[in-house]
Amino acid sequence: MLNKADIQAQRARQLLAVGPGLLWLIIFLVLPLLAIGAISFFSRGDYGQVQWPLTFGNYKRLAGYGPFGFDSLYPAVLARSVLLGAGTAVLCLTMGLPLAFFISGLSQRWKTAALTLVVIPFWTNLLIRTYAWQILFAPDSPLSRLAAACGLIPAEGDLYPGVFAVFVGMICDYLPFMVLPLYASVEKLDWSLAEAAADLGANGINVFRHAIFPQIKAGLIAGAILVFLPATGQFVIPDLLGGAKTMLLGNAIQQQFGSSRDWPFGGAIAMVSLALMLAGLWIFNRRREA
Amino acid sequence: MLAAIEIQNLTRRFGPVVALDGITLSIGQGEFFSLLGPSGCGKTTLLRLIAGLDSPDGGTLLLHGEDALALPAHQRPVNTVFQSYALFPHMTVYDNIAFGLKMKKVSPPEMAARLERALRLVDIEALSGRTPSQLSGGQKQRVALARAVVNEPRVLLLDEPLGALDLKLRKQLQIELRQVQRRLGITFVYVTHDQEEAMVMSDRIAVMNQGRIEQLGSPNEIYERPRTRFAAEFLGSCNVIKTAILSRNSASCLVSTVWGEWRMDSPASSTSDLSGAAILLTIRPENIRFHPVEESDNRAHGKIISIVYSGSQIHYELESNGQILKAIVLNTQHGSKFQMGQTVAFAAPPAALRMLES
Repeated sequence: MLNKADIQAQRARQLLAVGPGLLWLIIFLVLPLLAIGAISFFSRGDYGQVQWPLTFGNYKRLAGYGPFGFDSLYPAVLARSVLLGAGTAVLCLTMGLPLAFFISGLSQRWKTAALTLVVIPFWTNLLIRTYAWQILFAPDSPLSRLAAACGLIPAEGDLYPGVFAVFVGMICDYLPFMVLPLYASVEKLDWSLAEAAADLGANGINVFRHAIFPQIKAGLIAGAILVFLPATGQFVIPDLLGGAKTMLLGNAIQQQFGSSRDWPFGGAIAMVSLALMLAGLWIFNRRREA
Repeated sequence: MLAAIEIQNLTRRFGPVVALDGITLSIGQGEFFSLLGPSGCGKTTLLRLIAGLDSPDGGTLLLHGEDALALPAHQRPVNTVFQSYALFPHMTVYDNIAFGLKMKKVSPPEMAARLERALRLVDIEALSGRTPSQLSGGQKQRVALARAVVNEPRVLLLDEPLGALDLKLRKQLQIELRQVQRRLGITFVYVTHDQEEAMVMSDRIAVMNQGRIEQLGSPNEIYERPRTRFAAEFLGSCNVIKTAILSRNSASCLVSTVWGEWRMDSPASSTSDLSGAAILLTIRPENIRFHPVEESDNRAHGKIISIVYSGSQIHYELESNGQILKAIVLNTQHGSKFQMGQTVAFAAPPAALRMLES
């Protein structure tokens, strides 16, 4: 049994241990976030200053209330970003799942090699990787010619800029975030459950659905979160590979805080994107518990 | 009657290792058949081949007269109770047991009736809402059994199903399993490394070693007439004595031992004249007789060098002419009780000596 003084001493020690990290989070995350949240309810002055009165106008504008009726600009930004994130997550999943099974089936030596190959993109700067795709997808590049020869794109056409190039870049950047948690759960798979299911009359699809999927669900959801959340806020890759014509959450926020000097509206976009991601997280977590 | 399982020359290799070396075997319908052997002898591999969880490199397998090797696991008319139970951790006990019926799309009323019967059969009705993590080892074992038998397979394969349980529970479940098998009339193929378990439960046993069947027969046959040294030593304990045959006739046989000439009953099946050949004899420890009368056959003296008391029995080891013999006597009021170092007379009755194939 611990007496009261011991418990208090223990609490003090615990506080001392978590204190620095907690302080850091409060000063550099919680307080700025609260400030941005507060700013989003103010108005923009003529010279870009944040000023009274308090208003819901920024949020209304984001939802499509324009001076001349419905304006789809910002709702489209939100939808586009969520689609980009979800699309990247789905593509990474369809590519990452077979890859995770494949790596897990390799011998120990090849496993290490394959995992190293998966994480190698981390070691290269994102911008360099993305510019490299621009070159690879340029009109005269072998890849573009091959695609044209196969009739996938018009002759003399190119693979960049466009949706295809954007998703190639996104997959390149986010695939490791999907593969690693998936691999971790595939590696722990209890194959005897798959055998038991087959023994009880389950065909291939049902074996996967009832015996394998439930075992890798947690890894799958972790991977989906790790891809979806940052991919939703990503704007460098879409800018560089999509032709800088489309606005996404990331560059919308950047624009408001930068060239447009409209901090209240930028704050509103930031708060809404945060809410969207939290909602996504909540949905994923509910699936995980189910 | 058509055999439940007919195996011809079944072979399985894992790289350079021969796991099954041409197994030929026939198992009758409704039989409780055990595959007995040490780990690595191929018994689990054989079971997995029958279940369809692995494919052989050669040979044939018929289930009730039909070629089963062409069928994938989920289409074979067999079910398996796995060593690790392999219960689905995310399903309740009820859903675990219902899984096979759902896969076969059994109608809901029939499913409910069969589930109830299965739950009652293994006495786990009260647990149906729990998940496997909330069950004890014995309960998991019952769920695994119910999950398999609810499908009413004609052959049930069991891979060391009691291996993870403590001795007392194991003994109880041995009896229950045997009762379930009799009541349902299902053919059981039971893999175990526990010789006592195999003897208590089985109609027939195949003793396996290094991918081959060493001996196949009823528990009684194998225990009392072991053919090979491996079979003799794997089932129970035994003394192995080196001898050479001096002479033989139809009734008895004279052999030379370290104790001089011994007489034994002539082996029934020997075809060739083994005269002069060096052979091995075996005698079970409980057949060594103490205080023999002067004129009895195969009489000798030995010194007690070890005494192990195990309640109902006393296990002795005696040293005699350089040979160590194990002997077991019942611990009764009038049974033999010896001291360490005591010299005692003993005899090996001719009928209890067995000749082993080399």
